[in-house]
Amino acid sequence: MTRIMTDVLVIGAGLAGERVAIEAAAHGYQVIVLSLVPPRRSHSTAAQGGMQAALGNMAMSQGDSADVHFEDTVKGADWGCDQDVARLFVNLAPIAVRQMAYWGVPWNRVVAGPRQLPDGQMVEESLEKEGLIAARNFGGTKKWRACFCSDGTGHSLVYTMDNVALQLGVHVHDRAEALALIHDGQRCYGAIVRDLRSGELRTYVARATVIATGGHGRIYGHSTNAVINEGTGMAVALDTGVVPLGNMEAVQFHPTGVVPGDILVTEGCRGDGGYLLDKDEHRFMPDYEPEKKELASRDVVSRRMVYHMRQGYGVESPYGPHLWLDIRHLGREHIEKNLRDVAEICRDFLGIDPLHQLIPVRPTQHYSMGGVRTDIDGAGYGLAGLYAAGEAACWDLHGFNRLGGNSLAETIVMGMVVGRTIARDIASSEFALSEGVIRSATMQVEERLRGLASYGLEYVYDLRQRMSDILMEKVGVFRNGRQLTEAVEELLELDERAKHLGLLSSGRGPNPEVSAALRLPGMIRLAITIAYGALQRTESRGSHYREDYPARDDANWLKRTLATWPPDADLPHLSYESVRITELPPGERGYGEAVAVAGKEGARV
Amino acid sequence: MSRRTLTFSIFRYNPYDPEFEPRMQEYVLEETPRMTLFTALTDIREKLDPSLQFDFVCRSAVCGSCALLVNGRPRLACRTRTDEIPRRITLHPLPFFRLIGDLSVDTGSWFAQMAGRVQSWVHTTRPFDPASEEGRMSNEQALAIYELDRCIECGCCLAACATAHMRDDFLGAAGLLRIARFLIDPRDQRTDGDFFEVVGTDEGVFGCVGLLACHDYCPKNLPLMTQLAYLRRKLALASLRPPLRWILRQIARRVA
Amino acid sequence: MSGRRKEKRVMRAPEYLGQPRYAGDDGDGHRPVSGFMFQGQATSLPLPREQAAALGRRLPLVTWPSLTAAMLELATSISGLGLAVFLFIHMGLLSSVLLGAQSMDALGAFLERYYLLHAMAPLLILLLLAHVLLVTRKAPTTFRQQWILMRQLRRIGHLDTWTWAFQVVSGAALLVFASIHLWTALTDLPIEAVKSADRVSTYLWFDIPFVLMVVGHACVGLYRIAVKWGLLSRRGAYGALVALMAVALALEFAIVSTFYGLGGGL
Repeated sequence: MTRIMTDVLVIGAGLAGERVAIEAAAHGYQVIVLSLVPPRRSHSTAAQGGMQAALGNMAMSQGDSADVHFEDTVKGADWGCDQDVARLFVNLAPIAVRQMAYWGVPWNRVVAGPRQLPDGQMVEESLEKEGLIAARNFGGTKKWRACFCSDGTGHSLVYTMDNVALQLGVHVHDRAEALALIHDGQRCYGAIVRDLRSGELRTYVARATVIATGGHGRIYGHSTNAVINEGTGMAVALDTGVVPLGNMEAVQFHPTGVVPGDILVTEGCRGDGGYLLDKDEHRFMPDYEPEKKELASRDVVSRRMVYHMRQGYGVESPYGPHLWLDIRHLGREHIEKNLRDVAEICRDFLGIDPLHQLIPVRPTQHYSMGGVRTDIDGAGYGLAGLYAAGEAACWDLHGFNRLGGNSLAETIVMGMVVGRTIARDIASSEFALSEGVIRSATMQVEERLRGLASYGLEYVYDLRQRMSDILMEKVGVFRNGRQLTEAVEELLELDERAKHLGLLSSGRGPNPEVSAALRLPGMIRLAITIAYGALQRTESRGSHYREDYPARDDANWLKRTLATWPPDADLPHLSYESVRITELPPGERGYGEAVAVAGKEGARV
Repeated sequence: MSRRTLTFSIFRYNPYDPEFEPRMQEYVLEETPRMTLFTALTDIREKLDPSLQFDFVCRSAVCGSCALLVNGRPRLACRTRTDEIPRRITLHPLPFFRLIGDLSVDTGSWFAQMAGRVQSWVHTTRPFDPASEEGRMSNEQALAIYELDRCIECGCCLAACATAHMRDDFLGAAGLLRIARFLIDPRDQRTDGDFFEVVGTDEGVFGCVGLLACHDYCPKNLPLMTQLAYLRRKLALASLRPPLRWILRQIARRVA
Repeated sequence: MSGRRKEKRVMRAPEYLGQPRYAGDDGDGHRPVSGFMFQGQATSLPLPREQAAALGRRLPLVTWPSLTAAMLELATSISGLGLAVFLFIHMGLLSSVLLGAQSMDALGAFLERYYLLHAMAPLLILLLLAHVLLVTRKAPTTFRQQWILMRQLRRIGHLDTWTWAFQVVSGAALLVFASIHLWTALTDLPIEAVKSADRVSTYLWFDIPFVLMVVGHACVGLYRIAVKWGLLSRRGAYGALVALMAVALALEFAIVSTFYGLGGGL
């Protein structure tokens, strides 16, 4: 088997992975980045909206600072986040944005002069700030803070990042998938990787291994995530039995995925003044959220939407009920210029003209706040030499709900931090490798491949469909004890069935059925971890909403779930660590939630 | 809407399976409302043939993974609704790029070498100062750069370009557009001469014979014709400068 | 010089500057920003360029191989443009026959008297040869290239690619046709309407395809120059192409039929 040695192995070539690679390469280390697809096709490109950083250049962001950003982030997280991390993040975000500008990102810039906002308010951009990086409004923030490039922010960031990676001599091995980490229970030594061009296995040995594989959205049936976001990185970490995943029950739903297709239309639509309408074309959000209206944080808007649909105000369609997004009043010029991708999505995928027609939307799985638990430096718990970054990590910036635009910022800021940590750690640590460790990891993977080829009556796509349906139905926006118990039981049954996966095709070469079959057991285990964590958490916090425990419970649950899956255990092992609170004590989020869903909610702690 | 039955004729080849001869294989599928080739191909893989290889990532036309020849025309499969095309659908992998298997081609490697050849990054001597505010730029300029930064590297321009097929070393519309993007970027300190070195050759902009298939098949509707013409004018004029300067110097010497 | 230039293409990670890590878990929440590699990035241009700037830019900024490529490209378009302009002047002069055989003879005699034809003919032949040589650089000359072009035409059927293929084929054919035409016309001076009419009525099978091809080649060539250099918008260029082709073909048709009438009258 081919063996490749390197200083740093980054699994995942999205923004986080490449930013780690760049920082490590800039410190002089050799870096190899693995990616399922060419790096410029990563899911990071799909982030249309913006990147939060308190630059305060706009009229509507006057008085913004890291402190305000910190407050928005912590409140958005429903106090579930680590406040040290949040502080580090808000301090670094402006630097990250400026560095991306320096590297070539064409951020939109401030144009001086008066202009009218979609809601009729007049503002005057100051001449003093002209030409500095502009920002737009985003849900859940006090100030306009989301820096953007028209509607291709993620695209421009990814392209610029990959340019810099190329310049610094970072090697990207694309079409490669990590199947298992090489570890001895103490330290991580790299990964066993399947080449998706030929189907062969390769060994990568590295002094530092980084998991930056993005989210697990595809385990849900309806997800805005790209089809490659199957949580593979989280699954290989869970598979070690010693690395804990943090807060896996914290899954965010995006209010505006289009129906059908679940393609995300950016928060920018609502930020720029779009309305949500029900079947009577009534703008219902002001009824629930008189102050923030459509711009309340994502979990709140999603929940209001599902609640409103459950009340019978949803629009019926062959794909189930949905609501309408209305951007017609923003005008042709604005839509064609600033929301061009949105207009394209409507026309090309739905056959709808957003200038004159309403866009069918519904809440759709969008983001995983949970992931491989790391400390503030980005080092993974459980194994030395293992790091994680971006959505795959639980750095715990987002707590139980992520603010729009904080994900792009997190990928880059955390990438910087992790790269710096790796440079520091490699310089100060010894590295000795035993062949036995590599052999046992290799054998384990080869065993799985042999298993697929020899026995098995279960068909991978049937099991996958079942898993997605269970999650969508029972571990969605509204959760309750009964359904979660059912979900865990049914998923455990699937986990058992997944041991008998077989192949219908020859399995030779870069066979997609083999890839799916290798991923599925890990995906099911992630699903169980989510459902089980959600079942145990008997409170509602951020995007985790329990109908049977509708109130936030700071007395008992101001803590983070850590899930490991010890070898031969039937269920994940859950433990808890307290959330670090340094600056902002738990309080009201200010989204008008106290009146809460149908007013049935109990008193808040 | 009346339901149609779609017949897909799909190119099949698995280079790693010795028993697998290249061939066209037919699949029959019921059309559903608003079906795209993404839904259709996924259905075929999950219900009819799990070995079928194809690439999708974002399924919303921003990643550029899924370009195919649909009835002979390069298109993004995810953005092709089946109700836009006839009942019989022929799918081939994108030509020009190395075939991985079935409909999957290796666009990544080609674009990576292209980026290396055109040195696709901002060249500057100015250091980055984390403590100071960002360099200013007019919004128009930023939008103009973004406009040229919109390429998603799907490879349709190269698949459509007869010149690229005939000359292996041709940079293609994607490579030339990348240069144009840095040419107008004020942060990039490369001079016209520097750019000339990279693309002022027969492998670069002068290799283009102006077939404009790139322009016509670009799924992002990038202004490729305008940009190629701009580069051609700019570099051709730049090429006249040194000889003219030399002639003027000779004249000046004679006169003096 | 070339050695230095090569060096520039090598991508190097900068040296490790060994900055200290940021202050540990101090808990005050305000961490200093340090330990990142902000400086020392390989974004800098190599030294020779900076030195060149300091020395007043004495380094040649452009290398000769690429200069030639650019100038040959310019020359290709200019030679084509020249030939097209010649064709239209030629057509204008010929159209004098529409006013009657005498006016054309008078024009012929005028050209003869001032030796304009003798002066122009070698220039024209040179221009023609130059154009042939220049376009051959880009035309599909090997069998492999021709096969690829055919395959692409069949597969994608893109209009502008077809018109380019037409240029290649008509160009090759015109090389033969034009040589014959030049030979017969220039060995039979002075130009007179009767002689031309005679040729046309005898060799109509030669003149019809020749006229069609030469007009087509010139008009498509002008269109391609316009879009390649961005002189007109795509739509404008298409419109101009169609209009020009229609006018030129109508004029040529009128001229040829007049000659045919004159020739038949004899």
